[in-house]
Amino acid sequence: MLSVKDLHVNAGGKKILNGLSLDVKAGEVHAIMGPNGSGKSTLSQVIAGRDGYEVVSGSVTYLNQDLLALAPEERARAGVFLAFQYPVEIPGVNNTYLLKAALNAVRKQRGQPELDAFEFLSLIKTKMKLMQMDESFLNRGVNEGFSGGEKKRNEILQMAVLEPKLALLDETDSGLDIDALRVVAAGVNSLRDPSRAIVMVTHYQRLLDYIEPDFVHVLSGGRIIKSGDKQLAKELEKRGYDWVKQEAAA
Amino acid sequence: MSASPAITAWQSAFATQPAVASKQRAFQDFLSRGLPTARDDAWKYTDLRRLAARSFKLPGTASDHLPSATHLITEASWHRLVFVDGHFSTMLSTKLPTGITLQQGEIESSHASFDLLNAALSQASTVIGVTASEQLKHPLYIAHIWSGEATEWMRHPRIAIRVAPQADVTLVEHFISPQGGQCFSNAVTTVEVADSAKVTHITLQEDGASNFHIAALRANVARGARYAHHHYVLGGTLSRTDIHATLNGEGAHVELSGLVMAQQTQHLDVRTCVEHQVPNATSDEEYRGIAGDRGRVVFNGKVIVAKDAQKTDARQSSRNLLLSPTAEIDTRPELEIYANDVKCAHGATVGQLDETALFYLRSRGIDLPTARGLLTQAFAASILNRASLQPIRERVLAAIAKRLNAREGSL
Repeated sequence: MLSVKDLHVNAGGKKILNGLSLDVKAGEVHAIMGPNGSGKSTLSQVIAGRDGYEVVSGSVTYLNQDLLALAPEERARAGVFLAFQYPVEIPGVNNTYLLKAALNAVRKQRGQPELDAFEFLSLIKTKMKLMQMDESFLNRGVNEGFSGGEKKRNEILQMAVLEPKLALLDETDSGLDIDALRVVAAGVNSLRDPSRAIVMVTHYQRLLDYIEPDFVHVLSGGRIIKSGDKQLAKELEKRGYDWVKQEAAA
Repeated sequence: MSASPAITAWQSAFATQPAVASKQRAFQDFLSRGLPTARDDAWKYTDLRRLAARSFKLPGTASDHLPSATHLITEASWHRLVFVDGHFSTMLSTKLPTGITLQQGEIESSHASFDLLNAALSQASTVIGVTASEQLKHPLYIAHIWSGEATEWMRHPRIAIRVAPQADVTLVEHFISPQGGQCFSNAVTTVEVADSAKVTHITLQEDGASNFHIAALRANVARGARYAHHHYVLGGTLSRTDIHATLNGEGAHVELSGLVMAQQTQHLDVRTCVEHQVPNATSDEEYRGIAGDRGRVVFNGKVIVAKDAQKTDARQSSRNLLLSPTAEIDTRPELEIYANDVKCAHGATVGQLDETALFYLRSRGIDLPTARGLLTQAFAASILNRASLQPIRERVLAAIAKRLNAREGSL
């Protein structure tokens, strides 16, 4: 589904990604781990299409298309979803409005008719129940005045509504207490599907206790230096990152 | 220096008016002052030469023209006063309820050029009385429209609104003119808010994009009274509004809010002055400006706190949004504080749409023009919440959405 090949990316004149390669197939859950500054967030931002990153060389192919040639909104409509590390507050833009506009943009792309108000509302209410969110959220501005945990739940709610093919979760566990983490993880797990790929970017192994990955990759110095299964995450939790770096350097 | 075409035309128009001593004095005073120039600090950012180059005519009496009521806000419950070509129209107005009176009367002029010109040429100097005999549940709507296809016409609406003690009223002033008319609107509105009265006043300026709009608003607010003015400036090729609110009684409160949106080559200028004359009064001002294309927004907000006006609490905020690199916004707060025990807070910002918010919306499948429109409307919507009159809010939001769409089309 997603194939990143030898990707070199600069930002602000600095090399951030330095020959990163990654293959993700439908139905798989990947975890990308690494110390701060290793390029984890850059990878998800570049895949989602954020401005300000210069792709020097390499390629990102998604469902046989050159993903880097698409505008962020085209990527979203094609089924790429990024759950933000810091979801943005947008006072004055209604949460429901955004959800509906986003869903209809995706449906249009898939050749499906727009949902009417009734169908939309019943869909949203079902998904909100899953995320244990109060319906009053619907009438508020996008993330306006939400706590950190509420913002992360709202991200997964959007993901549940949009049903992407490729979901990127950027540090979704950061700032969550254990109860909120359980709710968010349950939301993500409910979206595990043979037709969907999930890539989690995380600093801590904690999230992986709740969302079990099929593959774990260690990102350091802008490229993946080791890959393994969930046992690798447990080892990283015990031993830190240094031994992997040393092993890679050897 | 020879007189500009505008001055010559105003002289001809004045010559056709019945001789009234106060009008003659006003006109002489106007002529000796002339139009303000860029040398006048209050007109530093607004060049009147385009206005001075035009020859505006006074239209004939209202009965000569069929009124064009197409753009009026027609809320069934509102009390409506409609002026066509500067003349009061009985046909388009509704019967006034108990508590509102309407009569012709002289309204004192300031020494500002346009006020004097208005006093000299106004076709109807109208005094509206509002008494507390009945709480007026529905707004009083005052609309200024043109008949038919007006071209280079002028109007000088002159209206005094006198609100009696304890009265509670909502006023909506609406200026409308055709897109291509190159007309000139020069309005003067005064509002007297007596003890413990409450006035909510909305001014919606929707003159067509080739029209000139000059307006002055003076409000005097007495003891324990509340005056809230909400100002939406959307129209005109050149628009300038001077607002002066004076707090004359303890416990008085003035709220000024405004939204100014300039696009294409519009030049929209608002100058406010909040004058605290007495102790223990409060004021709260918030203006937002949006400038796109080659549009220009000018905001000057002055706060005066007199020597005796201790314990004044005055706030002012000006937030502005630039939508294009060729647009311009000039915002200037001015404080003149002569008392020593006061709270005055002010802030002014000019910025662009938040890149992170734009990316967030796009990452949810929303295209760039729509995302920009959403964020611009959100910026405007938050100030519109200050006035709780739904038909106005919807109209302004729709007007903004329409302009943003037109803008995308021209890119």
